[in-house]
Formats: sequence, C-alpha cells, structure tokens
Amino acid sequence: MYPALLKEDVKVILDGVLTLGSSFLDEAFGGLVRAKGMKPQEIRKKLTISSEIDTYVDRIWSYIEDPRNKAK
Amino acid sequence: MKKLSNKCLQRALRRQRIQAARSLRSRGRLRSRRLRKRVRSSVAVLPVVVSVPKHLHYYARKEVRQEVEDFFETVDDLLRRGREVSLDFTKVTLLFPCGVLILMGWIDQWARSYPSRLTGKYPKDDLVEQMLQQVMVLHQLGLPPRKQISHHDVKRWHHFRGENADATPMEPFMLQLKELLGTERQLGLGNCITEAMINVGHHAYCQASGPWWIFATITDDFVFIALHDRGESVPGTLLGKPIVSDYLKGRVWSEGRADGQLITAAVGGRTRTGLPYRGKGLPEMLDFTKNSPRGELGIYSRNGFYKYQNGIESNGRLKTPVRGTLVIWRIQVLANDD
Repeated sequence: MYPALLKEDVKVILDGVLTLGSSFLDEAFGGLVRAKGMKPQEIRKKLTISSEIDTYVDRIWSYIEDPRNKAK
Repeated sequence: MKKLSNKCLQRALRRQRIQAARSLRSRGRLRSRRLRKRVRSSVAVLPVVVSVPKHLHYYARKEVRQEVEDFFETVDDLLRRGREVSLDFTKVTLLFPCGVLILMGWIDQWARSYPSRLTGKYPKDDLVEQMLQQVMVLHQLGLPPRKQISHHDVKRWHHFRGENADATPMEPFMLQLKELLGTERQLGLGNCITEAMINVGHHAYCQASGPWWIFATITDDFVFIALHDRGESVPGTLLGKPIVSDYLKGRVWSEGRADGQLITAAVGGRTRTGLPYRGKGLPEMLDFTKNSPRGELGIYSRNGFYKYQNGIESNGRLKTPVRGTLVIWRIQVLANDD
C-alpha cells in the first residue's frame, strides 16, 4: 500500500472480508505513520477506505491518527 | 571299612541334609530369578491400559478438572518412562470441547514424541466414538474409522487446527455466524478469533511455530468457541520481557503463584512487546464478552486462570499447570440486526 500511496490515490475496499484482526489494521494503517513516517493529513488526502461497516472506517482512521504513533 | 560311631553318622547325615537344602535353595533362587525376568519382559511388551475419565471436562469444578489432569499426567509419565500406553475410552460417556481440545493437544504431542507407543480402545458410546473419530483422535491412536458421522451433536461442532493466523479454514463457520449475527457482530467476533490466532503465531511458540486447535459451535442461544495452544502460555510470554514490578515480585512471579494475576493483566491490555498495536486479542475478547448478555470468558494458562462470569471477573491458581493456554468463550446470540 505504501509504494502505491507514494505514486497515486488509493482506495481500500474492505467489503466481503470475514475477519479483520485489529493488530493487522493497526500495523497496516497506523504503520504508515509509525514505520513509514507519513503524516496523517497526507494520508487523508490520498487514501479512501470503503466498508459497509462504518465503525471499521473510523477505527482505521483512529489508528492512523493515534498520538502514540508520533511518540514512537 | 571304618566303623562309624553313632555320633559321627548323625553328624554326616546332618551335613548331607544341609548341603541338599543349600543346593535346593540356590536352584530355587535361580528359578525365581529366571521367572522374574520372564515376567518383567512380558509386562514390558504389554501396553499399560489407562482409563479415560468418564466425563472429559476441563472448564469445570476443581475436582472434575483434577481427575482429567491426573489422567493426562499419568499417561505422560508412563510414556516418559518408556512404557506403551493404551487409552481406554470404553467408560467415556460425555465429551466437553475443553476436555477434547486438551486431549487433542496431548495426543498430538505424544504421537510426535513417542510414535507407535500409544494405542487405544474404542469407546462404547456411539456419540463419543463419532466425535473422537471426527476430530481424528482415534486415527492418531491407530484405530480405523468405524462410524458414519450422523449425529447432530457431532455435526454441529466445527473444529480447526492450524499453525498460523490464516483464518481461511474457518470460512464456513464465519459465514454461518454472519447469517445469524449480522456483518458487524460477525466481524467483531471473527476479529477476536484472528487476534487470538495471531497471538499464538507471534508469541505462544517462541522457538518455532506450533499448532492451535479450535472448537466452535452455534446453538439457538449461544456461540461457543474454545481455543487451545501448547505454547509458552500467557504468563510465560509476559515474563519473557519483565517490567520493574515483575523484578520486585520476582519469586512469586517465577514460581507461577501469580499467573492468574498476569493473565488478568494481559486481558487488561499488558503486552510482552509494549507496542500499541500488539496484544489486542484478549482485551477485545473481554470487551466483546462484556457487551454480550450472559457472555462468559475463561482463560487457563500455565499455573493460573482468569474468568469473566455473570459480570464478575476472578482469577486464581491451578493445582496442576495446563500446557499452553485454553480459552473458553461464550457469547449470547442476538437477532441479526442487518
């Protein structure tokens, strides 16, 4: 996802999945800030998340915007 | 010819009798030694028959659990001492998922450590035989399948075995859950299971990957899930990277006297890595349980246990440690709100 985000806008569609581990979501999305050094505002501009369950979209954004990301 | 006095004759006769008795004794000793040897060698080739408890139940009262624990310890001890063991299932009448999961874990380990030293006797109860055949326990004991799996109480149980966090084999169960609970609750429940599997993959087996087993079923009222791994255990994993208070409580911690408290800490969010994105499985499970009326969560790991039952949290110490971790989880089914 990170290389794609560097080049273009990305849309992630979560519909149809049967399990979404929180640690996976946190590592995949929060990791863009923690490990790759992207800024949440920058990710907001380029990333769209689509899911039939809104709570998952909110949760992913909370992982991206988690203040502990910066502390690391 | 020399004439012997009566006294001399009696002495000679007595000496003869003593010699005869001595020779008889030594022959007898030899014979009994040979016999003992023969008996010993014939016993060594005969497997020791160990009866499996009538009710294979672990998530239960202390006394019931103790009987099951004693059974596993006895078999393990015999195998370690080089004996062959035959597990006698004839008296088993009731199987509980927690007990079967632990049995599967032990048999898996015994079959790998002592190949061909473990055999078994078929159960008398039809339902018990179908279940043990379904979960491949009988196969691992070298007992070929004899039954058609037809009983509803066997067919309704899903069982899975894996060595990583790939939840694909659980798809049929997840789809069944989705239909019953709706997408959101199914996803929530599925996440907890996946997290638990990730935990096993990342932490439970520190040296290499190892197996986990899951039993799951849906009844009219409840979703029931039981997970088991034979890894490092929750307290063992947490103490792999101790914090200051662990050093202060060092002896208590290391002797396993506070394993129940360590499991409670893990359920509360303490992790080995201290990373914010790790160790979410157990806290999420507890959250999910608290949000479900009549939800129940039980975690048995190493020397301790943690329980959330009827809205009350408790922990304690186990008399006999459990190898790895056993999680028992029950969620009440609510109508599909999709």
